[in-house]
Amino acid sequence: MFPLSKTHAVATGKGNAAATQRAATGIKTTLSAFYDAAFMDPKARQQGLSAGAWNAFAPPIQEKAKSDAGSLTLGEAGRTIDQLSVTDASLSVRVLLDPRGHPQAAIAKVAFDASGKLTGGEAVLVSNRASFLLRPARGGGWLVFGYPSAKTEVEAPSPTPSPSVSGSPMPTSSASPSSGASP
Amino acid sequence: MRRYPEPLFARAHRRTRVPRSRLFLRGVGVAVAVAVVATVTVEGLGTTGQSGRARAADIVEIHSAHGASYVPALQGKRPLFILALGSDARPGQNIAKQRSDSIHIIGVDLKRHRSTILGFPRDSWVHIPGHGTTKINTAMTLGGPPLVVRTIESITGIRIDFWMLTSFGGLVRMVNRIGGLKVYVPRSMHDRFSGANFSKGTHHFTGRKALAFTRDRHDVPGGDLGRSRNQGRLLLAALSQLHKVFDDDPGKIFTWIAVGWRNVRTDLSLNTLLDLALTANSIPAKKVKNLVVPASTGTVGSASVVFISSSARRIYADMRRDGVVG
Repeated sequence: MFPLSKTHAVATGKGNAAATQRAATGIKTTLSAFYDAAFMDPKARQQGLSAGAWNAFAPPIQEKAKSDAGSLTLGEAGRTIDQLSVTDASLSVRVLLDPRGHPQAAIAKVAFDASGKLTGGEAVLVSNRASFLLRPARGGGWLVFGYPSAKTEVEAPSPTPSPSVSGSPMPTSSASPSSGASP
Repeated sequence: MRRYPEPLFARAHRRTRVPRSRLFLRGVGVAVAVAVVATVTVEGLGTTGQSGRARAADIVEIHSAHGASYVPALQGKRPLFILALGSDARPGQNIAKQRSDSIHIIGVDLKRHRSTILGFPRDSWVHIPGHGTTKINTAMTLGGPPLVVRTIESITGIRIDFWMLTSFGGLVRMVNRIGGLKVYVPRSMHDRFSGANFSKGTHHFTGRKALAFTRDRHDVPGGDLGRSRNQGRLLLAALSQLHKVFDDDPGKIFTWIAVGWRNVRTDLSLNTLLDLALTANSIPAKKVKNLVVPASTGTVGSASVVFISSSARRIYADMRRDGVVG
């Protein structure tokens, strides 16, 4: 689960600290479940996210989100990752309150870092930075209806330092570049 | 209040997708720093780069770096029209019952993400439904914003979806709360009545300066018509700034909405206002035309008035079709 590093209310009328906190907690639940599936679930890394994992997104944008899986999840790079542990994760939430103090929308900023090993044993670093637009779902909870920015980087430190300083590009390692296609 | 009938958020404003990259950077710290910067300015990292002669031990290879953006925007088969009004109410007066000094139709082509701002000089001599022919700015004193809407609709044949009304004080507060606006002043202005005192060029306006800029009609070309065009320039400056703010920190759009909500009267719901703000973010400023109805000045009795040219009908017809002129 993400630790909530910051919660901020933007009021158009009266403030409502309790409602803001509830909203932030609901958003944390939604995004934590998605990130668990998108980055930490070994099965999902190998086989792709289950359909249910995309339920964090509002139905009209689920297909769009799936097409951006390379930015929102590990994408194809996940297949080459054997183990992964979270090294740092934070979530800050800004909630828009209506004049009566009811949450209407929110923007969440996520920073997620993890490290682990590739299937070949090499170390790997994963970094995801994203911002999400969310609105309350009719049945409770919160749904993502946009992502102004989302970026995932998968880095593997060069396994064998080369003495060459020619400036020529390093050879591609065994971790295949993410295609950005839906898993 | 009319509700916009089309479904919301089926269209994406898609920005540059960062292509798969293989970057060679000095050290993990640099890689992380670039990642953070790239997150903020996705559009700026669309190329592949190399650091050149780096020490091999410091080299980190990034196997994949993917960025994406999806900002929802309103969708509709027909264009969207908003009537933006500025009241000349003084402190303590009901802003919806005073004259409207500023009248603009903002047409939005939702399909092509473009817009036209069409201004009406406040002294335009027009027919006001149920009240005969008089200056357009008196419509609000006779029936509030709804009568201004009906008047504009009867003149143009354009169906207005929403109206928004602010006052002198509201404009000043809004501009101040968003940190001012960068506005291009096309020619020098020195007018003691409005307080406009600007050289030609780009200025950072506080609320007071923005108000003076939009009120000056004494030394702008065309008088009332030139003033109306300058009011459109201020709207365009706000749009440009919204883009910058959103790119820098999407969460700040809530601040804009809250500031607007507190200083504007409207028949919009807060949710629709958010929808519109996100939609505005999908419209590049260069795809917005700022026009004033073609007109000429004259007199009726002792009153100085503006007669809208019959050629304006072509503009109305053009806007009705897709929300924009041209």
